[in-house]
Amino acid sequence: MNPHARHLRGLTLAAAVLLTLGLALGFLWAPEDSTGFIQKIFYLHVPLAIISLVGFVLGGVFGAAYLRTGERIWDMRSYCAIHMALIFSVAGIITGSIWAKADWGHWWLWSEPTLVSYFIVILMFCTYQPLRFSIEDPERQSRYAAVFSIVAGAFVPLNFLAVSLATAYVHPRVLNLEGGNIPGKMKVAFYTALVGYGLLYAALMKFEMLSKTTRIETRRMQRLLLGDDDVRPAGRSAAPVA
Amino acid sequence: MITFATWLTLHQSVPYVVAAYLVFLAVIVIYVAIMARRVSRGQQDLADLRAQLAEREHAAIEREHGAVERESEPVG
Repeated sequence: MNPHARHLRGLTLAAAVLLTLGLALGFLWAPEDSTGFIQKIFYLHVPLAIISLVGFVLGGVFGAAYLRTGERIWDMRSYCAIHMALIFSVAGIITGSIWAKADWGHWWLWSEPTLVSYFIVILMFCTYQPLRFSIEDPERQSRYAAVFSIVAGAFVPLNFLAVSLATAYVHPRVLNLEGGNIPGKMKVAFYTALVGYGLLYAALMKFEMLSKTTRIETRRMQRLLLGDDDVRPAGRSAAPVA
Repeated sequence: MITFATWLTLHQSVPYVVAAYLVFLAVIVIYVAIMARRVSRGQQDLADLRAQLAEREHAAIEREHGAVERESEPVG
């Protein structure tokens, strides 16, 4: 059995239960704030944004582990963490834009540091795959990608800190340097949903790792059948290779 | 008791909330569908390759076995 398939079902189930519970608490139990029903997007947009940023940092941590150990599994973890974080961030930015349109009357505000800085982080990580794709040698590809993930991952908390210190923003701060400002019941619903989204992220990342390791194993078997250990995968690939 | 229509007029923001959750659902469903297809196809390929490899190894063992038997047969 593929090690990445282990606990995948349990993790997916836990994510589904906690997400359902978190959203049910958010919609049915927690009160609305002054903005009304539109505030319910909060239980979607904010956890997505937080998890995506954590995912980017995680990609850097895994990248550092790869550079330290030289084990390919860390490179793959870094790749999958960043890939999943990108997917979450795209969903986060679209849902945020919908919220902004309903609440502020604009899809996007270039004068808003929180939005622009988040967008810059996403753009930066969008270059991760093209960077990998541009390097043919798998060893060098992994090394350069790890360095990129560390530098870009370190930029995320710095960016968060800089935006937190800025004063001219209209975007509400859920997590700030003083520990956040969510009232009572909303906090319970929010943190339940946040853990749910976190588990979903972990489950999807495991799913992607399963897909990648299956592909790597398939290539290895093909090479074995061809009787040639030096057969390279057809074409370039941005994904880690065996 | 408020009716659904009254509730809708009270909450002009309902379409936005629905749209946001649908976007998330769509992203997750599309991603999972793509991954599930890849994983199932990959595992099928892997099973085929393993079967081919096992067949080849089996044939090689049989060939080796046959050669040993021929060598041990009395000549003449």
